Amino acid sequence: MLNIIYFEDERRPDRNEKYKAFILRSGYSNIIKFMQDIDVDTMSLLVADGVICHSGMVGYELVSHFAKCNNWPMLSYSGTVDSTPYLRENKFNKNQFSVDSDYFELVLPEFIERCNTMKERKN
Amino acid sequence: MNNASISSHKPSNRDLDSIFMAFEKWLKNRPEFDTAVLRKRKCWPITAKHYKKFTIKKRNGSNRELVVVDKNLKELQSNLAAYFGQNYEVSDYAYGFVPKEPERRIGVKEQSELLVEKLRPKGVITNALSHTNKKLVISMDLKDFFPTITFPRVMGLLKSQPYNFTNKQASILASMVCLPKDVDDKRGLPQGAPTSPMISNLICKKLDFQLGKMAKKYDVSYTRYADDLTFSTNNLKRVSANKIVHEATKCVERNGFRVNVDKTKAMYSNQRQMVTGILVNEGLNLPKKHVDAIRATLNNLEHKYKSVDEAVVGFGKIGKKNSYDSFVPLGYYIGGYKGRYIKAVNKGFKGNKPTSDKEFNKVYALHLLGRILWYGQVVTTSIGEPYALTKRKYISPKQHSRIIKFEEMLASYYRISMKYHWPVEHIILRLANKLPHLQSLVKMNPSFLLDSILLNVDENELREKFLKLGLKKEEYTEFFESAPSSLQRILRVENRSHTNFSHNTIKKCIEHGWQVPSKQQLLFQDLNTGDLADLFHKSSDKQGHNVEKLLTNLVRVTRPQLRYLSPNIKAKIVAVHKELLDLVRTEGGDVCIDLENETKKTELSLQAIRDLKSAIRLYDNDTDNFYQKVVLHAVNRSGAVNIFSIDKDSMASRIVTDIKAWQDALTKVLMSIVQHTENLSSTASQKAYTIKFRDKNPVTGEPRAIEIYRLNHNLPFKKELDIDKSKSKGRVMKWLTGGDLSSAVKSFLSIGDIFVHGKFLDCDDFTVNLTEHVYVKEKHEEIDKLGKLFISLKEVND
Repeated sequence: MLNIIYFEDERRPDRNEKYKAFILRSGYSNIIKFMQDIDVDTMSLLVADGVICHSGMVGYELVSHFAKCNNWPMLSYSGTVDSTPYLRENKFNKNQFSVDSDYFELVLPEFIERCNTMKERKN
Repeated sequence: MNNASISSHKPSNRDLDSIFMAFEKWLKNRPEFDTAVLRKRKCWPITAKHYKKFTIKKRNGSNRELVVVDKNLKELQSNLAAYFGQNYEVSDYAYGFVPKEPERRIGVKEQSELLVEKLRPKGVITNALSHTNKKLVISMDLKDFFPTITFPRVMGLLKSQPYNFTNKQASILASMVCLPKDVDDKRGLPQGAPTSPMISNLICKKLDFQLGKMAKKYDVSYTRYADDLTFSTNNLKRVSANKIVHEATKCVERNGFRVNVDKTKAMYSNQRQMVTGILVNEGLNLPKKHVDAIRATLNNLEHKYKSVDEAVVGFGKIGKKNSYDSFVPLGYYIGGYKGRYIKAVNKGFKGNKPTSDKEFNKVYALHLLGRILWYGQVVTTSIGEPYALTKRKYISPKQHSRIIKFEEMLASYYRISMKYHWPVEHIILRLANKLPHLQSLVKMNPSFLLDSILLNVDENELREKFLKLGLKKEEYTEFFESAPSSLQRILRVENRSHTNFSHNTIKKCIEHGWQVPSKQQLLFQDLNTGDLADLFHKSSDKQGHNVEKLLTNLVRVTRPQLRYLSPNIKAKIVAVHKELLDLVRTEGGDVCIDLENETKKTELSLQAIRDLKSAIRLYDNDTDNFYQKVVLHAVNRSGAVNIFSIDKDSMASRIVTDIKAWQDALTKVLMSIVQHTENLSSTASQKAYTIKFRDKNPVTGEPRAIEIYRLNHNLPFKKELDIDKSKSKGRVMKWLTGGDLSSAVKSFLSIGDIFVHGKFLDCDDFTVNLTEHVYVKEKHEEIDKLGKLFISLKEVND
């Protein structure tokens, strides 16, 4: 089974609720775990098939760094004005994806599918 | 003292320059007696052609005759004025045409010993100040002041001490400064020549001495502002008004002047006592008519008028009022008609295009501000600078109420400037630092102020140390050693030295701050994932972000760092702050800003936010990334795409940084490499240099860097380090950077340092920090297909 980690934004906990609620509602709660601790020690011990976080949250750089090092597919949902309404793949780093936060729900299944494919490819 | 710089004993180029400049100045300012040379300069003989007469109307209806001096003669007269200015010793009683004693002429010790009053520039205000709160004030006027200072009198002055010119020399100089016979029979001083005020003061020295002596005898205060003589006293038992006038007139006539009897006034304390246009009855004040005119204008502009034009037309209609009552500035004519082609008001330069409304409004705004500040200067002069509320008990209630009035005027002006979008906010905010009431009057919420009013303890301590600096080199070295490392870094770069630091560079840093990468990074961190990230992320609230909250966060985070940001980032932040503040002021505290949906009200704020964003944020997308915006941009600008290969790995990370600093520094580094690369052709598969990017490693703390590798690592960096190679680290005393590399270092100061690694002309396996000019012994291994690390640009971590 996939093991995807959703990192909660400690600075703006209110911002998490909407996304957490959707994850629970859509039945992905068995493969997506919620996590609050973002520090070097925890992150270096972490095993994951994918990570999700808000691009403006505290600790984003740490999550991004470990995702690059460990080849974790990473979905960062963003509230910036120029973010896309579809799952955008970073051309320089194929494991990194981003999406406009308003379209998070729409692209989540596609992201999970990508994580699944990558996991299968690894195995 | 301010311009003093500490340098080594060897005469540097700068020393030679200053000697040369001093010689040039002396050459230019020395009087010219050779009539052949003067003729060549079209200044001999002096005739009516050199002076163009014109008249202006005096307030009493009569005419005042002035002259415009021919430009060749005027240049010569200006040089003469500078010459006389060098040994310009006027009497203590003279207040007109006396420049402020330059600070550099007064030593630090002397400065502290001098009273504040003595450092204050002499002028109409200080002239009036000597006569405040007096039972009797007598004002006398010298008739035809300049015309009565005639050729023979000037000759006499020039032939006497300290000038001691020969008869011929004196007559040539006197001809230059007096009117020619065909203009004025008596050959008086021209009104409008740059030399006349100084000559008049020198001629009046004897008169001042005699009147001063008389004044002392009768316990009277005496001052002279050009041709205005003023006497005042509280000791009416000692002398009567008539006696003073009689004695003074006698003295004046003995000195070859005449008293304008019609203008002689004796003013007692129950009357309006006016000295050089300022009321001196109880402290200093302006006539009520002037003050009312300013207040009425402000009131109308704030509440009645909708445009500046309306205000100007309004005043045109007043009709009978004197010119000083109307606020019709340069470029406007009676009736509110606008002139054309007025530009750069302060230089009187006429542009070749019709002047825009914006320009006219600016002229008007500054004109009005000038009037207010003049009132402020008059009413606060006797208080001491800065005006402190704690000293209120020493201020008379009347003076205090005038200061309050001045502050109210400024507050009103501030609101008007908001209404008409005049760009003068910074002036008012600067004044608000000195005037405690003003902040509350302009309804300034201190938490909205971006500029720090007060320095913190460390900054103050540093400033105190700086103020104590004298002229000795050791003092500068001591100051440098005790300064924070970030300041030491800047001083090294600016002075290109580890030991010699100029006063001016230190002063600039102390007064305006200096670039500190770690402080700027703190701000970037907040803009990236802290509270300030909201500036770039849309709100979960449909209405958008609350502007007041954005503003408070912006000020909280930025204020302590503002002095230490790069000029580019500072300007962008200040612009965002200004627009958000304007939005709160005009729309109220509840106003929200939706980053996605621009409205008329929010368009300026959103534009400022977008400008800031494009200056600092790089994305993990295909276009706005580090590769496109920084590296590719720099390679293209270097003009040698064929010798640089770019490793794109990690170049599409989301980064908040000073993009321009990276761009400029990398471009200049690459340009420098191109200049020093002899053969610019490379094979397509193997380019001579490879540019790599390494993002910050949050685990190891390794900083973000651009690394440039060189295939042919056997080539040296073409400089000698001249260091003790047995030591593993130390200073490089000889400055290695110049041209492009030097500007690269300066451009990169807000981010970090630039390093060069490997081989030099006289040693190998060293790394030199080109910013700080320190070295460390360090060996880099060769990497396949890349060669060895050659140059790197690294962020500075705290």
